[in-house]
Amino acid sequence: MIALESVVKPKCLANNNKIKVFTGVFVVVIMLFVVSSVSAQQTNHADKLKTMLSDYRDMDWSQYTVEAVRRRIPKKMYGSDVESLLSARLYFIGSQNIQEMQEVWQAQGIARPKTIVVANGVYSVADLHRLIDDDSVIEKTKDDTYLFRQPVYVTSTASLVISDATIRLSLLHGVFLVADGQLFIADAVITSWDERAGNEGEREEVPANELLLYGRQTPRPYILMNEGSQIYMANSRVSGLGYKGKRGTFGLSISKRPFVVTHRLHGYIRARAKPAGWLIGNTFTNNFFGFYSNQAEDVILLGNVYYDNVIYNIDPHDYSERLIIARNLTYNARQAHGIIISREVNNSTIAENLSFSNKGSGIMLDRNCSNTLVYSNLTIGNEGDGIAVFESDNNFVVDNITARNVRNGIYVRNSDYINTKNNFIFRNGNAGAETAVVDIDKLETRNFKLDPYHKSASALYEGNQFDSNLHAAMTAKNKGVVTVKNNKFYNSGPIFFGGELAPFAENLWHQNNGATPASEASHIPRQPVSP
Amino acid sequence: MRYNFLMLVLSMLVYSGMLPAGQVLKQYTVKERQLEQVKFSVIEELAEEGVNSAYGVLAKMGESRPLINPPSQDQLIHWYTLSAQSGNSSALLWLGHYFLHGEGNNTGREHDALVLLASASILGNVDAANDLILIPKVLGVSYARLEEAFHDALQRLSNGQPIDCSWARCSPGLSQQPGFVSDKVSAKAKIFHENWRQSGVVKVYQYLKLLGVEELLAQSNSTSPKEKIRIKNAGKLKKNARLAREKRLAENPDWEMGAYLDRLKNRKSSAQDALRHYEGQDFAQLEKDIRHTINLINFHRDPDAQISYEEILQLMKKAP
Repeated sequence: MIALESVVKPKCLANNNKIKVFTGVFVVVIMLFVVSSVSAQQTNHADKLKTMLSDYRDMDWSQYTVEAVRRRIPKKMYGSDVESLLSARLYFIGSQNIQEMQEVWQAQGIARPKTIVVANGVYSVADLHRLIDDDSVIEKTKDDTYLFRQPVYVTSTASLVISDATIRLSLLHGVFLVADGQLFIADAVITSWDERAGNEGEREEVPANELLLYGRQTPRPYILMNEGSQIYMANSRVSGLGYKGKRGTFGLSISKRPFVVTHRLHGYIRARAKPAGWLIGNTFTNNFFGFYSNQAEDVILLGNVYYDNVIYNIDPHDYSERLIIARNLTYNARQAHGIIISREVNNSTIAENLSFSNKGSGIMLDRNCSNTLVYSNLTIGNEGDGIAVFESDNNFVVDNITARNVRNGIYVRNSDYINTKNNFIFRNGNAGAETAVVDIDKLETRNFKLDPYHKSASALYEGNQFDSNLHAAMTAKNKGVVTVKNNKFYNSGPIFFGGELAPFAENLWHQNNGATPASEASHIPRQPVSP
Repeated sequence: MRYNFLMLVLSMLVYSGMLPAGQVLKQYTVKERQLEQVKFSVIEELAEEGVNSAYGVLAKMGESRPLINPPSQDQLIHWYTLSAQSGNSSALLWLGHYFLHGEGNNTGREHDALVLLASASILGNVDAANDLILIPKVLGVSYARLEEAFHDALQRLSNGQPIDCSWARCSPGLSQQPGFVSDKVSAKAKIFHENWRQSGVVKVYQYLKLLGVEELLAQSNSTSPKEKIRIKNAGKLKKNARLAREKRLAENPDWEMGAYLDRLKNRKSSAQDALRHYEGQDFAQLEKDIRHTINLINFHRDPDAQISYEEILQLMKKAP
């Protein structure tokens, strides 16, 4: 027995030691990997910011004007393939949307709803009127004013030009405009239209907390740009459109659906490229959303005015990429934010916008948006925060002025690697900047599989000017991590550093002024913890 | 220890993005696999016994639910071909779209694809008729090619052949089976031709528009029961959550959330009061920057649609 032990035990011990040594080496390697990736990320951040700023500043703005869009409009119209087909045939343009519209069609006694299908050519609105040749479908009510009583579907083989015209989409007849092809709109007015009242039609009363519930609103007209479509729109006005429906029914939407394996006509359409467009110098008001996108690419929103839209003024959503939202005026979004990008909208620029008096925040990045440059915007007097970054890592907030917002000037929630630089953060109702970890596990409206988040927040504040913020210049909650460097603090509230930062005020003060160098390590966030 | 080590390595790979999380996590239950296998075998047997549509169902299953051993594209096309050979109009429809998409080794078979779709619609498939109406509009196929395809399809079906076996991988034994329906196929083609002639419409494209209207309307007007339940449940769940919240608030006004909301409201109104106090001097301080941004915005607007600083200032002051 003793002999056996003496033979076996040393072997076991040797094995255990080997495992321990191996595990130790492995842990050291992992730590080196994490530390090197974090420092690489910091270096990348500075380079990335430099590139994004120079890309934006070097843009040739002269090619993005109203005149430039007018020049893009095709001059030569051709084609005669326009006809009114049963809406039931168009199963591939959004069957759920068609289903929702049945409610309006049935109320109007339309047993066999039809849609004007525009194909194989380039058409003006006057062409549609001439080719359909039926006043009960398209009625010319005045010079260049057309009332549509049937929805319009522009196929991928066609372009529709709406120029110097007023288009009224009948509320009572459940009209929408869906395009797989190209849409050129210039110097036009597009509104919903209530024939009985002679105006764009009152919105029905829906309690604020039910506005985003599906099936609570009667469908209204909308414009939806599908896969592969392109829209060029300038100096036009869009109003009265949109409702909460299943997909892209919010007003003017640019949207691609997820690809599905199917071998009927869905397959061709859904395999097409992501939709794109230029919207320049337009006005959007009283729509459910001023603008919405889903998986759109390279959309440019420039010089537009968005106001009094029901929920958001500008809302690019789900996996849209490389958007430029610049030089827009957005105010008085009635329920929520002026500009919000949400759910993995990456590599986009939100710059030089003026966003004020919105019910929510002036600008918000939400649900895993990354590599966004929020640059040189003015967010003033919003009821929420000036600029809010929620559950979105790796973003840049640079050279903005955020003033007189009821809550914080800049609010970083559950987001890491937020680089805020050279902002003027002035007289906000709560703190100038707040960095916080918030447990949102019980948020009913959030699907955490689709929108995961981590319970850590960290931001670098460098070269900002904090002035006269009411509660504190800067605050952190629930272990939010901040690094401060060369910021200027004036007059802020009763204290400069509030919340969990208060006990470290002296250290932060020294770190900020360079007495102790801003420790890069203090900016390293803890490892993310899944909900 | 070994298990923990393995999990650590796996999580590192997933975390570093070297291994997609789906590959680790996506596992089907044994029961699910068994059930799928049983369904698959039953339909396979039916197909071998000569049930016309069984190969089509088999292909559809393989296409949409590849839980177990997903069949190759060639295998799917072969199953559809066998089903189409028996005169199954749905299989003709799906096969037509496969060729139209140019999948497998089938690029450049647009004409064959159109013939298959035309055959499906001649045999009474409403969806195929509908797709043929829309294909010239959506894909830009010329109407002349469509007419040509229809004539070829009519000719082939009149001879009792739903599919051209000179290029398709047909099964030579299938036409000898008792379920084979060449007479029915040619009879249907004749009826289609006769009805078309009687309708007085010259172009087949125009005639297609008259077909299956009622079926299409019936399809579009009916929401599937599953969908109805889903919509109903989603509404119900949200309603219940709202009612529960309201009840809790009514029962206990000091409930944490209520108190929090009150605090938020108070803070908001006190902040607004304070901000209002500084309104004049703040806007004076920000004027230069607001004017600058308005100028940038106006650069992209029509001269007749410019916005002015005074207008914006009024709007800002109006805010609560």
